[in-house]
Amino acid sequence: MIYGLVFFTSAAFLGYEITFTRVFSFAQWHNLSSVIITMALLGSGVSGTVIAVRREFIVRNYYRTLFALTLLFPLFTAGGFILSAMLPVNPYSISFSVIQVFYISIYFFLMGLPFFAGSAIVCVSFMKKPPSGAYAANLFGSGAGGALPLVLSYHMHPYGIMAVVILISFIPSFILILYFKKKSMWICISVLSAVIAASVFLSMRPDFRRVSEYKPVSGALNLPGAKIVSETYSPLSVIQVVEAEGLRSGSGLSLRSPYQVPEQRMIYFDGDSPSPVTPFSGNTDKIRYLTFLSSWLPYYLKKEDGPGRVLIIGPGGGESLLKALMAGFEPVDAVEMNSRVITLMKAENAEFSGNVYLDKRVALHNEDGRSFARRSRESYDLIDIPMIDAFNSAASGVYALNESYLYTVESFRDFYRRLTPRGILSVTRWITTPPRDILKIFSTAVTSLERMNVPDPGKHLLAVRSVQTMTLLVSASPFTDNDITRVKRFCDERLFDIVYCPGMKIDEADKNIRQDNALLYRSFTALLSARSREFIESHESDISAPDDNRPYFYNFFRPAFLKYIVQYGAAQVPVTEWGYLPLVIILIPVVIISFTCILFPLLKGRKRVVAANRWLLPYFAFIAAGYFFIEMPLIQKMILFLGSPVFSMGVIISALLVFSGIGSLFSDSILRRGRGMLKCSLVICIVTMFYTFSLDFLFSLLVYLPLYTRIAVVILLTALPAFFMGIPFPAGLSLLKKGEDSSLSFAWGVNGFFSVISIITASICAVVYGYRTVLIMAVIFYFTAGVVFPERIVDLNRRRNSLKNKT
Amino acid sequence: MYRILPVMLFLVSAALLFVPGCGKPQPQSEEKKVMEREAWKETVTGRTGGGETADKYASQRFEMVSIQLELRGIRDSRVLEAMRVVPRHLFVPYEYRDDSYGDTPLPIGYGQTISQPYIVALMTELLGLNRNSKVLEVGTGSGYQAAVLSYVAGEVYSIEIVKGLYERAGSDLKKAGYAGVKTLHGDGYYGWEEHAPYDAIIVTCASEFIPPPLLSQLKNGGRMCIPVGPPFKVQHLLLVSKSLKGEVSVEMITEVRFVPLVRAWE
Repeated sequence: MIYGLVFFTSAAFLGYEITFTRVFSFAQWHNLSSVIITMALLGSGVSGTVIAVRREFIVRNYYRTLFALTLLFPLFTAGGFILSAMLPVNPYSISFSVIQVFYISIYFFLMGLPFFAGSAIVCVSFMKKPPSGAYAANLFGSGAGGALPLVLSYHMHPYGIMAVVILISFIPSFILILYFKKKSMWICISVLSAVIAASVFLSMRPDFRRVSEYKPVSGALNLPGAKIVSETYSPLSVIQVVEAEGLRSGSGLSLRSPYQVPEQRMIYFDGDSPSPVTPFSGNTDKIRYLTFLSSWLPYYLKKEDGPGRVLIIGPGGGESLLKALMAGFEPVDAVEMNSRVITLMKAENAEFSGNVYLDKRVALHNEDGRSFARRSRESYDLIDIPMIDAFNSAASGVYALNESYLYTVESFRDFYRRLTPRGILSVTRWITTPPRDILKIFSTAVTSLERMNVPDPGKHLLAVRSVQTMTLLVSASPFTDNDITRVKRFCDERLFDIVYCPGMKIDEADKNIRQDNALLYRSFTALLSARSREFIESHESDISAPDDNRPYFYNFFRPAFLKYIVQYGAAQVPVTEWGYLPLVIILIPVVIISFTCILFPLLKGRKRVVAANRWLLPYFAFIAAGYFFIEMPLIQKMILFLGSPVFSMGVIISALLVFSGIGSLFSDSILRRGRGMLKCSLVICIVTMFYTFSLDFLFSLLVYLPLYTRIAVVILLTALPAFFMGIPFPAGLSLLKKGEDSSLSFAWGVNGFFSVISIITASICAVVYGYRTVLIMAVIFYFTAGVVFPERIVDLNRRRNSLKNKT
Repeated sequence: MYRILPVMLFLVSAALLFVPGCGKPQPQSEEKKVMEREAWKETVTGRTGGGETADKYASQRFEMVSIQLELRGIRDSRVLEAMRVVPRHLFVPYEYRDDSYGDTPLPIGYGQTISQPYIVALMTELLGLNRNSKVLEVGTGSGYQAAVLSYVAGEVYSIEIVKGLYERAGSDLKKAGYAGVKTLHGDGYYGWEEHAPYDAIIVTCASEFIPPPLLSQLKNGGRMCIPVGPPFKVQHLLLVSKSLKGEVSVEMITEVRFVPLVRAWE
């Protein structure tokens, strides 16, 4: 019965955690997953402490407490979700509306309550059952709870998935009631079920699914005649296609365009990142405005050379496909990561978009662009990476911590190698103020060419700007004078400017779009000069080229920037500059809260416990930190190999949990062997070290395998460390169980406290130092844990047991 | 019975997940929009009138002009006068009224904002207007920018595509005594052909590109100004000028909000 209880509670717990991330990114921002994970861990840490403090009461009223907790858990999931959805939270206005700090705190508090109750159920269950079994049920449940939202997310809105999770959270109380069959319990459950039914009903109502009014989709829905033409779900996002009067997108459109932008449909991903679907009836005259975008440049250049084979990364609503077809390119390879976009474009929007996705010249590949480039053996005359994120998101910094393997040094190398001898790679990006990401892109291209030993990289690069966008071209062979003359003509006709081209002089900069100081030209030439390292290091923003070890394209934060925040106030500094700083800011209250709520009450009055078990604090601290320092980089690393963050997260989390669960079942038998724990930690260290230095090489060999084989490889790779990572926690607990009883909850608290802190620290370390460092730190943590583990006590217990057996 | 009830409710809730159409999203209903608008109107008209509270805010307005505008380099006396006269608080939602003269943008509903006073003043100054100028504003929003423009220029035409904003701004402009501003509910992309050409055009709606038809409605020698940036964070202004011969040039007036920041950076 208890195992069932733990299983369903853990499933609902993790399901709630993952679904809340989705709900939050649908309604507000999509970059707060670390806060949600932190809340989950904080909730469980606090629950451990409360249980430790109220231990005697709980032992006396064991089943009553358990039942009360199983009632509180669904009440908190349902109530917390409904109430938090009703709060007028608006992170955009936080800089001037102080009340938002209050709303956001309440929001996260309400969101944290279910984690508290859920973890309390598991913790109380541990008191009556051997840790290995209960821990296994916990991990299996979590594994199932992690996989469920991913499976459902193809068919349901995140709010619907939340309703399912709420229903699952209700199951533990049913299990208890079926076991005890008490009338009073039935009455409690009846009342609760009314609340649950109401919340499920509410979460299924469309008007309850509010999206922040500052998201682009809300703006579109305010336009006359606005309607959602189609809506579909994927684990990556809720995808909505909107049609409205006056809805247009012309990013990088020239003021001089004699052609009009028609009213378009817009595809929104979680209400953001609009991708236009241009109406096309086969008459190219109606879409000629495309030739007045800065991103038309590579097509303009290649058109005269005689167009050939083109690769388009992220075709979205099909604008680049139209460009390629209009310019006469054939065949067109289009790589779209989101399978739902392909379905939308082939079905509901097929006719509207002139069946561009169904065109015979277009071959669609449902994959991540980078993985495709690594796997492909074709050569292309043009590789086009059009603008993928929205200007609002790019400028307001909501992407700050999202890793992107598309814009790394190795990625540019992968694409470059797929070019024909006269081929061109084209990247279009927004220009933010002050310019940062275009400098970073340029620096990435330069570094990539240098690392490939391309002589004179400056001759292979050319950049053109419109008012708000920049298109960067990287050519396989040096640009010719004829190319440059044509680019100049292209710019003059469109009021664009050349930002950089081979042989350019400073007085040619900012000709059509006037600015002070030819800032961009000077920066670009500095990046190409021998003193580029000095320039990058002295720059206020982090414009260093990201690589696969540190793929944080959107992080521009440098500690030196703090002085501006201090000098001019937070509201005066664009959010983009903050990068990982919010994580550091979150870390401070989290450390304080978790210390006062988790560790302090336990330390108080339990000095004896700590003194008696000197190993306890470092041991549980290190294994908690070690687990997250391995989990986080593994998820991030596998994104590139599996070609999708969703697969990576789903596969890694579920595999880690399930195999750790299996490992925990073996913890007792491993402990029985001499120095079992040290050996176990050594295995984890060796495997992690091996992964740290060989994963990249291994992946480059295996990347050509089909997806399901790659998933199997990832499961295998995860299973090995996961099995051993599941052992230390129950092993430590079972040791305590035999000794001091009250120290059990202390261990739980220590583990919780350090889990909370390490998830944030691991993220910060990954951004600042890269994944390798994070993994090496994990090795150090596990090794230290293995060393401090008191084998002496194990030996003592073993001897005692054998004596008992003999007598 | 008490045993069946929770099981039934559980099953009913589970069944709800599969009711077809239950989860289909809909845009905000027209009826709800009207209700919201009415509620807003009540808060504005019911509790305060322009005249009664004018004095209360006058000192704040003068302080705003001297601290936020003059110290930052706004020189045009007509613009400064307009900023001293136009009651900004009448264009701000009731709950933010006391913050009207702060150095910050404020939300006005529909995901739109009323710009920071400094940006309103700077854009107006950049347009180089006089009493005879004819101005087109694309994106009426709160109506405040139009009111300031109408104080400085001769004729002001303003287009708004969001119906709720169009109606509210129209009535607020009237109430605040700026009935001379001509407003239109429509798509600003095509400008307002009927009254073209204009001496100046100001695009205040969030736009990721400048609609080319606007350029043809700008007189030779005219100017067009566009703020660029996400909500609450205008980052730079674009100034498009048409010479007397009709040649077009674009200038970036950068780092609007972060003037001190970037000076230090340079």
